[in-house]
Amino acid sequence: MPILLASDETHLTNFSGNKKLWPVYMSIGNIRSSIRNMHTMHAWIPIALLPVGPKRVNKITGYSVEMQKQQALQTVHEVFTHLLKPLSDARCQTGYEMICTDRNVRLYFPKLFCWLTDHMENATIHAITSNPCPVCIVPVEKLGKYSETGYPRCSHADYITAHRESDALSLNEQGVKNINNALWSLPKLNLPDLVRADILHNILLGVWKHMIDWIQDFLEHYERINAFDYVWCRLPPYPGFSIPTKLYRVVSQWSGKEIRNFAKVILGTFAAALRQTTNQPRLTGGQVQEFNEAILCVSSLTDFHLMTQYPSHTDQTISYLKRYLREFHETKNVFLHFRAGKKVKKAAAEAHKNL
Amino acid sequence: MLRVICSDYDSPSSEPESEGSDKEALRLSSESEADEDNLKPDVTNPDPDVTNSMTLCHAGIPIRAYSFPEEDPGLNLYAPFQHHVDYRLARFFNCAKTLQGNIEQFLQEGILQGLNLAHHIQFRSAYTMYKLVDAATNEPRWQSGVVDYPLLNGVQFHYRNIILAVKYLLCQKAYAGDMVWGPQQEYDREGNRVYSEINTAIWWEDNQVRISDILCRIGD
Repeated sequence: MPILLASDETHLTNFSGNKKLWPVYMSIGNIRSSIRNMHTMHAWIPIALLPVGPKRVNKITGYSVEMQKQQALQTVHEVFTHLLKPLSDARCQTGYEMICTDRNVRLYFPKLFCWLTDHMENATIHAITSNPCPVCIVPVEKLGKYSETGYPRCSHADYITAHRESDALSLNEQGVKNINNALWSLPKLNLPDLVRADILHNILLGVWKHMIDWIQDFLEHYERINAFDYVWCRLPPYPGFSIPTKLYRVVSQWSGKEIRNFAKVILGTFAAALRQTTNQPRLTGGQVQEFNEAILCVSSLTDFHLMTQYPSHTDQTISYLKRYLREFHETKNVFLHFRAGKKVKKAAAEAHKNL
Repeated sequence: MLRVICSDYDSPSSEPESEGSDKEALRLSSESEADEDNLKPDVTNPDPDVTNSMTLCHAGIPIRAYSFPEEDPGLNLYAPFQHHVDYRLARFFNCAKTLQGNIEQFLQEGILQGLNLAHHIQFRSAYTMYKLVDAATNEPRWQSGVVDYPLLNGVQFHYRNIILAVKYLLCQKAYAGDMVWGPQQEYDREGNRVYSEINTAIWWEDNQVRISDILCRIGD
């Protein structure tokens, strides 16, 4: 029986003690997804409220922030051990007899199937640093680059051996924290399998959130932002789409709901802004090519996003997904200038001054 | 570093437990034809693309039917409510989303006593009514523990037993028509394999079929 867990640390208050809550929810894979995903059916039940650790303190001599983080992580994993103890029980191997809704008794072998969460919590659960991938051994410099063949998956058996031998150096090199991971105690569980594709975290709050900034910078760079705003403010209403009340660049916080709304219209709006010819300077050949590539990049991401929402998949739809992903990575370089982080931009500005 | 306030994890007994909420639900289901249909396990797939589905071997097949003690005359099907009138009244208030103030007013004016002199309502306020409703749901209870961080002692955490939570979800009648028990292979018109639910994925096949095969071999 697949057990599904989901968690997300939530910030509750800003000015009265910075209260945080860290709930963990649970459901089972035996319930059809259409029912499980309806919040009115209450198929996800709260299973734990995890402790939220104190803030790190910088000014303690002999007790660095790194040590504090390490000990806080170890404490969280001790709580995980307690929470997941029933799943490491010997009874899970022999099975539990349980009454089902169809008045039958079945033998159940509970097994953790996934833990849905964002990357930072995945790092906590897998006890890794924030840079490496929790699924595969991909070099940090290759993160964000497309790979047809993929990379070998993380081998937690090796990490367990290194931890038992207190080989902290080897663990550090692989970006793994030297603590006793609570999930290692669960039998027949391959930890990288716990990370499952998640539209909210991977696509909406992942790639789309970056794409929003890239598009804005791209439009400003080519002086198309006013044309874009013109189209953006005149989007007609239709079922399932709420008309944006603010200008695109004025929206300060993009939540999952707003990004979902944005993804529905961005391709048409972006293409209309770039293809507008009235009151615009004549485009050079290079600019036309860049505009076409930018539209193709946004189109690939939109297609990928729309296809991930299919209720069922075949090998063919999965091959389409791979194709869209490849196309996105092939064309994303058109936004390369706008993808630079603060550090790179600062370095580039300094280098420019020196010239 | 880790302290647990409540009783520690107790391994659930192997005997299946009867569920209070399920008793009431089963009684009610006999009154409604639509609800009766929900009790039958539904193996049809709602996805229109899927034209052919196949259940794999014996995985997910029940080991025995559960004989529910409905016939026992001493069994109170409406526990923790003492009488079916109390249960139905609470059910009405809950389903109609009646405001707590209105419930209080209804109980204070004694309207029900006016209609039926013999019956005394078990609850006197909305608060006590909802306490009974909560008790009827039979949810797994919460336990608490305390952890000590190096710079902050006594941080509380709360948790439930996962196995009891699974039992609770499995016996919910609301999901009766939407439960899957074993792996299925689904195909479209062209014969391509379709992946829609978790039980149509290869992961489920790999896990459940392997376990059930091992059990069958042991049984043989």
